[in-house]
Amino acid sequence: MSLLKLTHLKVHFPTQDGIVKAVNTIDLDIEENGKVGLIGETGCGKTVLGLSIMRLLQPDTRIKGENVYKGRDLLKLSEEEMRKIRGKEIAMILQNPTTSLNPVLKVGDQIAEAIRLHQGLDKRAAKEKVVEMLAAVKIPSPEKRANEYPHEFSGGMRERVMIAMALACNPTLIIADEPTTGLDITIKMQIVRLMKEVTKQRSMLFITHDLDAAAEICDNIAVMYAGELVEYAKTEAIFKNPRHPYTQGFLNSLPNRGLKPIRGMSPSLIGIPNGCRFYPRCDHAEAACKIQHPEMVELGNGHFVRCLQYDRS
Amino acid sequence: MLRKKTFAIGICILVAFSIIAIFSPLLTPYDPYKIIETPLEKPNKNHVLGTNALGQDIFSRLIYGTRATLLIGFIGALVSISIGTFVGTVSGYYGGKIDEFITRAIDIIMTIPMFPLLLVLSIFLTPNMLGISVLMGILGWAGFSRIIRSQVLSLSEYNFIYSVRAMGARDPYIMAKHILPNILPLVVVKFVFAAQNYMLMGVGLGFLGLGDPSMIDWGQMINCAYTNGGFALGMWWWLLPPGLSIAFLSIAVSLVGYSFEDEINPRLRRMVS
Amino acid sequence: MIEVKDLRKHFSSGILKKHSTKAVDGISFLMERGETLGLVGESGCGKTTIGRLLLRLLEPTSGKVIFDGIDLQQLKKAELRRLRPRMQMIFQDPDASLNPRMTIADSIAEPLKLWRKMGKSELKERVSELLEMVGLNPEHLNRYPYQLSGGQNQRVVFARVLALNPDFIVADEPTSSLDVSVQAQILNMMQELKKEFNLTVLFISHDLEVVRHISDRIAVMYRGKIVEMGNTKDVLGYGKHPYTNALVSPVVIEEDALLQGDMKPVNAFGCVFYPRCPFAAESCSKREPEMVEVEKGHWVLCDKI
Ligand SMILES: Nc1ncnc2c1ncn2[C@@H]1O[C@H](COP(=O)(O)OP(=O)(O)OP(=O)(O)O)[C@@H](O)[C@H]1O
Ligand SMILES: Nc1ncnc2c1ncn2[C@@H]1O[C@H](COP(=O)(O)OP(=O)(O)OP(=O)(O)O)[C@@H](O)[C@H]1O
Ligand SMILES: [Mg+2]
Ligand SMILES: [Mg+2]
Repeated sequence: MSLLKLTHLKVHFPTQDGIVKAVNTIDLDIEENGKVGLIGETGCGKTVLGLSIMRLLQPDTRIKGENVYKGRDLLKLSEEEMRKIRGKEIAMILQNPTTSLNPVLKVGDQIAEAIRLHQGLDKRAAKEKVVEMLAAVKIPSPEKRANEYPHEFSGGMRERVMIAMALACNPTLIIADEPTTGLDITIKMQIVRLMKEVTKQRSMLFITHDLDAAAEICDNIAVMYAGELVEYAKTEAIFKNPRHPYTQGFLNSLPNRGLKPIRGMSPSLIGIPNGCRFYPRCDHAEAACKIQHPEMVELGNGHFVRCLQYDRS
Repeated sequence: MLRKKTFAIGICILVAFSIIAIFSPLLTPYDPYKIIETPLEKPNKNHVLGTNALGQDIFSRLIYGTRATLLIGFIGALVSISIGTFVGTVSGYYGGKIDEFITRAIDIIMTIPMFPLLLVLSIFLTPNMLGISVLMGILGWAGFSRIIRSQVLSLSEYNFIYSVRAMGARDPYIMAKHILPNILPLVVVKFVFAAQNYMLMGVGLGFLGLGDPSMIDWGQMINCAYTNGGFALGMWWWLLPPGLSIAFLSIAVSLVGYSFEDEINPRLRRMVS
Repeated sequence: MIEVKDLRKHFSSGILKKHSTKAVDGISFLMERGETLGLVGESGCGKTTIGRLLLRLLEPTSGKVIFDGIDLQQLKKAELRRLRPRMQMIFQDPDASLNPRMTIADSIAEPLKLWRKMGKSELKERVSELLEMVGLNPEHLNRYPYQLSGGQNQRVVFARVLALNPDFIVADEPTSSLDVSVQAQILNMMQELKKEFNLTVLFISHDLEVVRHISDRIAVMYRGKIVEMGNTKDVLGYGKHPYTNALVSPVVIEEDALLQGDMKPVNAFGCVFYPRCPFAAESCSKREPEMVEVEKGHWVLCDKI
């Protein structure tokens, strides 16, 4: 059963230089209990996609399409109804732990705030829960750490605080925006294991640059380029048999696969030309690619690609 | 949406009061200092709110009173917020010994009850209105500076401050260019609330008869009405208008202050919870 | 180029300053000009703190940092300031490294305005040059940091740091918020700069693959101490310290034996790694180990070697 279904989702930002089309016609399905990995170049719109599901973008942002969650279109809910969903139904682990934590409040109080908001626990119970959550994300001496301020934590610890905060209210869907950045390998493995454990009965949209972690956690991977999905398939298929030239190039730039960056610059999201978005950087580009914008086609077995090589229509 | 409305309403009222204050000479039917009628006249065609015990036009005095109240609030807030911002920023930014010294000093200052001290000083110094406002500002910056300090302290831990320091910028530059703009929203909110506080305090002083005798202010008017038996005689038109004005003004300032406060509350905080 | 002598930094916390965190606890090393030293270690072991101490953005509790023959601790404030453009740091978490109220253009131009006397047009030119160097579009110039993605902000940080042509850079997880392709671009760019300007880099990272690729030498840190140091090949290939081995092949470590990043003093005297060390002997808890040179230029802090 589909838990969250995005249909033709578009997110545009008006800026003084023109309209930034950060997310452009995304269709994505997250099953109940499904874990979808979202990978792609920096600045391709992953975070914006996550924030638009939570409806946390600035008011002047233009959002079109549908985000149907449990049969309700989130984009049509009132702010009050949405607030009840945030944190409790859908929680987001934000990308930048330093700026997402309030520097003047103790870490424990910030987590407690989230808990008390939705669970109606009293102060003491909330405090206990905070310590429990901090321990769950492997913060050593949690009682003491709960009384410290964010700047007294190292980068990796702050990241773990963010995870604790998101888990605190037991949400059905977690949107995790690069939760393993800044963690060392041992802790990362713990966190990955932790995420796997806590998402056994949950769904997750896992935004990441860490392909190993994505491979470990997710059932399906969506590859995004310049505001749209270019490939979607089972995790194994993406890594073993990537079909889109972008995905192929992306994987080749891994340090252990040769550290070969994709040539050219990331495209501007203002005034996107017709045709394939990846065309200027693609090694397989043909004349038609410049003119015709490819559609997502299924190659079978739940493997979708947006590339004219495969688009026979 | 609601926030925008409250803000708009508050600002409108404030602007209206300011216009009244600036253009009071043009708006008053009579010279507020001049004795023009028989004293204790009831409201009538010529004198909308009647006259006071000296035979001065109450309506004209009410309008002139706006000036004093607004000025006291504004100047008082300006003085205390400026000192507070400066001291708080320096203390939070430099940390170490300077910070310790300032923090201790503020702790001591904060134990001094301000309003009684203000009363005593006003009795002894009998300052004029400007003096009163500056005095209030000087007495009131400490608490505010503490808030600023803690903000600056945590801001200094942000990497962008480290990064400007690493670039070799001078401290005053960093404070002016990087710290101040980031605490400015807070400063503005505190300014608004401080102004409100000082307005009320100014009225209080006037009511106790400690205001600037050469200026007309609402507190003084109430005091005057009270001591001259306006209360006993049930002359509500003498007592009520200044009282209502100050209440109205104070509410307007609150509206603005609260909507500002909502605005600066980090949006991100709402996100996670 | 850089000489660090017995550097220490203890943070005290709590009201009575009773509890003290030894973030950096007696570290010494040397860096040659043009060398890249990779610094690895678990989260919270004090890597960022070392970076800040090297540039004297933090005052050390004790110890010395000598930069190009100059003892930083002896410098007056103004002298230190004049030295600043030569040493720069790229901070962890790019979103917090830029002033949220400054446009990207202003942020990149700031170091130039501070140190180079430039006309407006020259400044503009240099800014767009830097922008291109790090792979951003001119359309980003008038935006604020919150209007860019994390990776884009990180590139802005790069541009700012490169603006002054420093000799020495501390790069604190510079690529962790970048996708693999941009990461490859940036790493290659750093290699080139290194060759071209003989740049000295302290490269802090959690990603061993990346560190392996970019560093000449590697230092492994554990709880405020360097436990192993040597050539990249030696350390990652033939690591001697049990902690290094745990890092290199983390699969073998089980949940609780795991390195949890707690900085509480385990034992006032013994080896820092003692409580978790699979080879620990009674004697390890009593005596602090000393650095021994197992091969030329390969140092290990362990008594059992
Ligand atoms: N408020 C905004 N106004 C204008 N443009 C914006 C705004 N927020 C984001 N953008 C642009 O939208 C694009 C997508 O940004 P987003 O943060 O989603 O990237 P991302 O895929 O999460 O990248 P990263 O992996 O680096 O975090 C970027 O090019 C960014 O510059
Ligand atoms: N300003 C501070 N006040 C108190 N404690 C601090 C402060 N800065 C750092 N610490 C503590 O010092 C230790 C080392 O922190 P540091 O940031 O150097 O770790 P790190 O190795 O960079 O970790 P990460 O990889 O997670 O970024 C941590 O335990 C941290 O809590
Ligand atoms: Mg992002
Ligand atoms: Mg760090």
